[in-house]
Amino acid sequence: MGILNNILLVAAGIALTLASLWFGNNHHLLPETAATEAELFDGLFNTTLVIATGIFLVVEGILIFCAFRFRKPPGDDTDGSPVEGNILLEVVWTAVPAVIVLWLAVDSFDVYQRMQTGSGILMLGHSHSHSAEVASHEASEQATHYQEAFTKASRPALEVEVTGMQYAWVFTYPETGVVSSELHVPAGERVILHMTAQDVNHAFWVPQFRLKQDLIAGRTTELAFTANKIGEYPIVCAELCGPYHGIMASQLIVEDPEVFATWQQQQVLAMKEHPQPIQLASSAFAEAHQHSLSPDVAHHLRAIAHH
Amino acid sequence: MTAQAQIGSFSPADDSHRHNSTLEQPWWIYFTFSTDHKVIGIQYLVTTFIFYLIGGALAGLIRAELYTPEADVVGFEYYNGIFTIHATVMIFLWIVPALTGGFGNYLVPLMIGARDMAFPKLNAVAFWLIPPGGILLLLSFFVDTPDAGWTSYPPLSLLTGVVGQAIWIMSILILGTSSILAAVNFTVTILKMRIPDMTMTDMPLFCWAMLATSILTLVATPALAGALILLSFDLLAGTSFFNPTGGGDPVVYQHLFWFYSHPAVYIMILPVFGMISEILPVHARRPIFAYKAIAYSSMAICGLGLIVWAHHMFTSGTPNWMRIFFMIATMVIAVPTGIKIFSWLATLWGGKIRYRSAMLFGMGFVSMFLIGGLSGIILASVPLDIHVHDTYFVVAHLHYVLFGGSVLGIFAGIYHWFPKITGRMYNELLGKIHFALTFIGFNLAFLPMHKLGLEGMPRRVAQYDPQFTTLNQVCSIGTLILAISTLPFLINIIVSWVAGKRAENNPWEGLTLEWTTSSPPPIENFVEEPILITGPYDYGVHSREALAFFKEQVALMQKAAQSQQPSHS
Amino acid sequence: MQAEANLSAAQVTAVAHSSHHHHPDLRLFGVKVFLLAESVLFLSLFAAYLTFKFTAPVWPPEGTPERELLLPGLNSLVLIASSFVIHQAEDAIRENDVPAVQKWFGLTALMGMIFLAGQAYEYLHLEFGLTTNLYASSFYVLTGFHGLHVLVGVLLILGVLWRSRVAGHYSAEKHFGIAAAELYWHFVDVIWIILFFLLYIL
Repeated sequence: MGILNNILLVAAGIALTLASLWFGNNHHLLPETAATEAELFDGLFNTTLVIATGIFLVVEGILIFCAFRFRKPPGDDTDGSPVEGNILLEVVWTAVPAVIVLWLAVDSFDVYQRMQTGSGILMLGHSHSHSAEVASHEASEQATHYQEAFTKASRPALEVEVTGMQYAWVFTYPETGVVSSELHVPAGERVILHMTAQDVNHAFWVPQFRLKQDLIAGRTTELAFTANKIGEYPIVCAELCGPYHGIMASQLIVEDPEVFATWQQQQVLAMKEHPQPIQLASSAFAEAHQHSLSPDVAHHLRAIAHH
Repeated sequence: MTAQAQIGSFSPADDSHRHNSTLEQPWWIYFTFSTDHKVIGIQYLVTTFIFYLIGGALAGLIRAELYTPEADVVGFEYYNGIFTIHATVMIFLWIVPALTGGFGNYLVPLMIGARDMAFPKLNAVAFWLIPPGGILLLLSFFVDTPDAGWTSYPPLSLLTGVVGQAIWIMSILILGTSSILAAVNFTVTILKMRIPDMTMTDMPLFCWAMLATSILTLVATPALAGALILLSFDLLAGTSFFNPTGGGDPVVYQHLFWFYSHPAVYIMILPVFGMISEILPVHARRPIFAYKAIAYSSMAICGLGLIVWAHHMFTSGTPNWMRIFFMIATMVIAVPTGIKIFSWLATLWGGKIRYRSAMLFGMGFVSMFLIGGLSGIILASVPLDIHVHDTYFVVAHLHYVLFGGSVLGIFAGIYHWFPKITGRMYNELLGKIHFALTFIGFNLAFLPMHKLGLEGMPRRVAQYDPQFTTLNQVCSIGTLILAISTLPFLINIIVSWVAGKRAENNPWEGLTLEWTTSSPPPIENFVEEPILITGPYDYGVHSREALAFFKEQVALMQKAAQSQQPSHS
Repeated sequence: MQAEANLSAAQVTAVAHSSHHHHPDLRLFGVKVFLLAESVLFLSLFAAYLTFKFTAPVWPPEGTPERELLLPGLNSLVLIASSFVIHQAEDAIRENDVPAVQKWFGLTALMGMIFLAGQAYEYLHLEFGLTTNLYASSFYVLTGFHGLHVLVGVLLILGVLWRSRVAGHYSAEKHFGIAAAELYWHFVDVIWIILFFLLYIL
């Protein structure tokens, strides 16, 4: 009997571990990744989710087991066994979670630092222990390609100034003076954003990069990333900034470095031909996005801008 | 007659019994400046429940708006005001006052054998600040709704409507004052008004939880008052404490705000931890497992809760050392919280569980709060938080904590103490229907939000990317089920209160002191000061003897009350 | 926990006869708990002020007129001295000497009013207004909020004086009002010392 119980317990433990590992790595809760930081994030997220799933299954399992096993037998009005505590158990369930959370904290800090310094790039080529399964084999190869290009060239990071204002984003490339309402970046290169808010606080968020940074009125905040997958990704404002907060969006376009260079040259030329005031007001934003907004919203935005 | 026999249907009230009782207060007493802690407790519970229904209606509007990706139901103009008031009502007018003012007031004096709170008049003042504070807030709908969110971060809160924002500040200052006055009362009552036999470690765990809650309220709430005083000067007098154009710093507001508002989460959950520690042992017929660990973990949460606030600001440009410190402190809170959850499981293990509505909600609380705790660990990790901060993941997390945690706990408490408070039994079948609908509706409404947030949907938006439509519709349907779930509850409570079967003095055979007096208890609770003949959770030790003794005690008390009756009326 | 219980009939009778335990006066303890909350309110304002100060490049910001130290210094001395004066009242009430309490309380109220008048005078002669800059705003809000507390303190003291007209209202055994007013006054005084250090000296 005792042996049978032990076997059952071990089997349950193995099943639980396998279930947690499987769910932690096959959850499909996150969008695709498009930056090295996102891969670092996914690795940590999956690890955390494995642990959380394990704890969830243990606790809910015991709860459900108790709910059936220890329900009052009909006609039995007596009390349960009067056990008031068990020092060993208490020590275990204090120490084990303490170790887990401290380990998670250390791991989180490690990942965070690599995200910030961009050293995640160096890890990507040879270490997959931390990065989750990269979205696809192709993407992984592509990433490695840009990765190598980056380390060979070891160019300084591309710096972009970001201004958030009620319901619009403005991106300025200080080297060339190009101003845009969309953010174009070259794949495989380190990009540093210097961000300010013109009116109220905003937050710059690209879900596919897993990165977010508040734009705080009166301060300059920074965000660095290395995009590694060509494509268009949404830029979302994540900090409540007024009635039209929900439609304050733009596009982040990750391009091959050559395409990016061409785009920049075209912009410079266009600016020379049609010099425009740098100020990009909300009305311009509304104009640019008219197709994606319902007519009354666009109208509202124009009204605000003219106000 | 056992409690089991009473389950199933309403039975007509026994009217001959009713007028016999000197223990019930007339109905109009609830509209007066009564200083009786039980009257005040009921005043709090009923008032806050009305606010809950209002906050719930606003939640319904929010979910109706989010049923489609376009802003077409309430529109951009009103949406922000609606979620601002929704959050403010749910926090400041429902969960906080229902738990501390409602259950705290009703139960603490009874549980420690006191006749009343330490300062009965102050207690009444604290309650009577709630209706004006709440009505003021709701009246803002007719003039200018505050719409900078319940966080009211400047500079946004300085640029939206001045009148609405000023009303919001005024209302929160009134409600905060009420909360501080109540906390003074609880601290003194719990520390100084226990019957002489009762040491701190003889106290029911709810009292420990209320002590921790009150200390948190005293130490944290004034910081919010400080922030709001400065904000109101910025708003009304043109100073620039938080306004960068005049050299101020909006981040200072965030620090002050979260110095209160993170502990506020513990103010909203610690009393529930206490109630669950009362409810599980009674219905599982087992002593609470690891009494001291649960008691001290409440105090640990109280202490740690004060040093984690900046985890709400990981994306605010907070310096690195601060992020690391607050990440570790936040993670460590999982340890005392885990101790409680494991101790509750061990309490159930080997018990003889009676499935009454209170127990269902109690066990439902453990299962749902767990999810909130686990998503909390994800939010505590700096790199993970950076992605999910200000998204629907946070909305999911906070509702698992505050609805799956606090609100399920409040319902558990209402069912558990309903016979004591009203002297009548509720209908178990309706209670169980209420539980099933709540459990299903709640999970449908909030579980999908985790995925929404992770995939890229920010919070506080009236319009969203159409790719999120399906999950949002599931959430909205869940909310509808949640709304429907309050109907069986309301019917049950109202009909049972008026015409429910008479409750025994101790229908669940509990061992804490509130069960040693009549249901409902007389004015001043006990005719004679109770003596402590049993620990609060000695089930299976000598509970039979203790329960028999309780019965004799109440019989003596009622006899004494009847002999006093002629002189009273 | 009371694990053992002997439930004899004799004990049941004993319960019926035991009377309610009488609790001592808890109001002063309540005031102390309340002052804990009050001090956090001031601490939050101090913390905000210190953050502004230490994150600013120049503090007070450039263009802030020089502050005169003589008047506020004298004012502070009056307030600090008043704490010693009001303390005499406690010794007096222990001796049941109500007239002496009235004397010391009256003097304290007077000193409190001198402080308030001094502050009003300072406000009227300062060369900066509420919205001049961050320092000016902090100065007015902090001192104003403290001044409000001094006013409340003076009113409490006057309330005690009013009640002390009735013979026997306060005695050596029963003098919550006196103790509470004194405690509050000391609190207000301590806050001022911190405030003076922060605003004028640091």
